[in-house]
Amino acid sequence: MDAQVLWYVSRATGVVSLVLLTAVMVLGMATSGRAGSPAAATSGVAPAPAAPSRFGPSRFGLSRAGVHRLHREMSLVALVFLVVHIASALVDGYVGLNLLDVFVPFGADYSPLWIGFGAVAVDLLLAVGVSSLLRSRIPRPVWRGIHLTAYAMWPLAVLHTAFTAGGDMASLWMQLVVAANVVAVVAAALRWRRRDQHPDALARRAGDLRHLAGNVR
Amino acid sequence: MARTATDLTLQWNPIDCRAFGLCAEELPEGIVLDEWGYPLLAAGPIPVRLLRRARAAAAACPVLALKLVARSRSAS
Ligand code: HEM
Ligand code: SF4
Repeated sequence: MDAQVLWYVSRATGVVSLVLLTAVMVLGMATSGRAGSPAAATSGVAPAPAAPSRFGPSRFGLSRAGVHRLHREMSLVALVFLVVHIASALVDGYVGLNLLDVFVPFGADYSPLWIGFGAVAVDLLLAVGVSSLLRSRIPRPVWRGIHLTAYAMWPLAVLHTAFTAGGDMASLWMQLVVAANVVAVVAAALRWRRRDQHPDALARRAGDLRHLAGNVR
Repeated sequence: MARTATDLTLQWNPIDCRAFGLCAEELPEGIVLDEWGYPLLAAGPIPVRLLRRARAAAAACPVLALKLVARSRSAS
């Protein structure tokens, strides 16, 4: 067997992991809040009238529940690719990483900074993934707090992809892939800022603010 | 005769529910949304043929306001 096979496997599964994580992020943002809920008002506007249709508009040709399912299931697929990406890099041995470098950042002999970013991303991803699997046993605010660290995880994964030495970033196709991923997440994030909100959620937030203001006084 | 009803039912927590409405998409036969997007559940035990969908409805709820519980444990 070609001795370089594992190295190629690692690079290929690394790119696939990033693309899948990007998709998971976009799908997560697409279901966040009451996006597309029939009873939702758009950011801060007065309550919407009674639901004209039974379900909200679909996204990516899927129902909202379908988007949400895909978000959950694709995250598991991404984890599988990530495991292969890491395992093949370790076993290949070309860059002399050890198991510790996978989880503890900035100690690697090779490209310590960018491998380190990858390690932090792995830690955050594990936290997000494991807390989600245990979701029914974790208080909702705690779960959500952990879940939101995904927004830190993803940029770290991008930096790790783009700057780890010996990657494919020198080639145009790789630059295009990474750029496309960034564009997708930024677009989804902009859309997310204007997501639909239920009138009750807005009222609840206004209530919280009044409550806070009352305590300060 | 084949059993057509399970001894499970969906228990809804109106305090936690944030009207995401995803449950109704997973189980339209048993859940409709009111005009504000809050779910109205069909009464009674879950039929065997809808059990998978009911599980999916409970799993879809982002705030876990919907749980599949044994009938004896549910209030009412
Ligand atoms: C490990 C990979 C995962 C990543 C990177 C990820 C990322 C995200 C992101 C960015 C959001 C949008 C958060 C927001 O701004 O509101 C989100 C939402 C969500 N994710 Fe994940 N997620 C992952 C796995 C999962 C899994 C395994 C579940 C299964 C329970 C899950 C359930 C949810 C739910 C229910 C929401 C909606 C939260 C809300 O609107 O309050 N996620 N996810
Ligand atoms: S999915 Fe959960 S939050 Fe949404 S309407 Fe159903 S019970 Fe309420």
